[in-house]
Amino acid sequence: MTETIVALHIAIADIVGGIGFLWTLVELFDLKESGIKRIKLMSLVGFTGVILAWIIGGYYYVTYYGSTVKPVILAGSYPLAHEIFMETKEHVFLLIPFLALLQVALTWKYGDALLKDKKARLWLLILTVFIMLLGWAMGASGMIISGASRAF
Amino acid sequence: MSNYLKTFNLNSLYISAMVTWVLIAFMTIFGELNSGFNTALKTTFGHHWVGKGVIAVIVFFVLAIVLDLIMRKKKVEEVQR
Repeated sequence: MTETIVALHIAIADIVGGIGFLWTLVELFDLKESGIKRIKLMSLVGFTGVILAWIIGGYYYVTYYGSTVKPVILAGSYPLAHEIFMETKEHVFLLIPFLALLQVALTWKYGDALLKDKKARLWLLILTVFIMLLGWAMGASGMIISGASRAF
Repeated sequence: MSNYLKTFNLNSLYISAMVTWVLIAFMTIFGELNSGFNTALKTTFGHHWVGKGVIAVIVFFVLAIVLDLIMRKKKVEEVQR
């Protein structure tokens, strides 16, 4: 059961959240009129992925991680996987949904104006890159944590 | 509702996102230094992490709506002048 939830969490975060924001990012580099509808949709897809990953990951963390995985990591060869990576991941993840919502709000509010307003597009691009970087950091931390739970 | 969202002031979202970020950082550090805080969150919400999340969501939305209302009021006053 725990593996299924972790797999679902990774799949949703990476596929839905990751692809949603990555798509938006790529379109923003060379935005065309036909891309406006796509970035609106894909930013919404990315935001949905972040929220679902938050809920599923949170459920796993609260229900299973503390009682079954955490003790194994702390007793294993790489206790830092919990002490540093999980402690950071669990709190940094709380920040991402607010940035993702801001990104969606900006994309929808500016819409067509993004074609002419280069400054707004640049800031939206920076925000999207920041979300992606935080997302990748979360993914990398998750890999370290999963690896540490299997290494003895 | 749709019109309300269309005219929602984005500055209120920027500010509430920044405040929420600072609040989460503060709750995290304060919780590490003061175990009573984390215990209180655990008692109320079942887990300290859930507590921090719920507080962050409430603060974000309440602050965004309140700031938006203030900014709308200010704009109306400026137009009336």
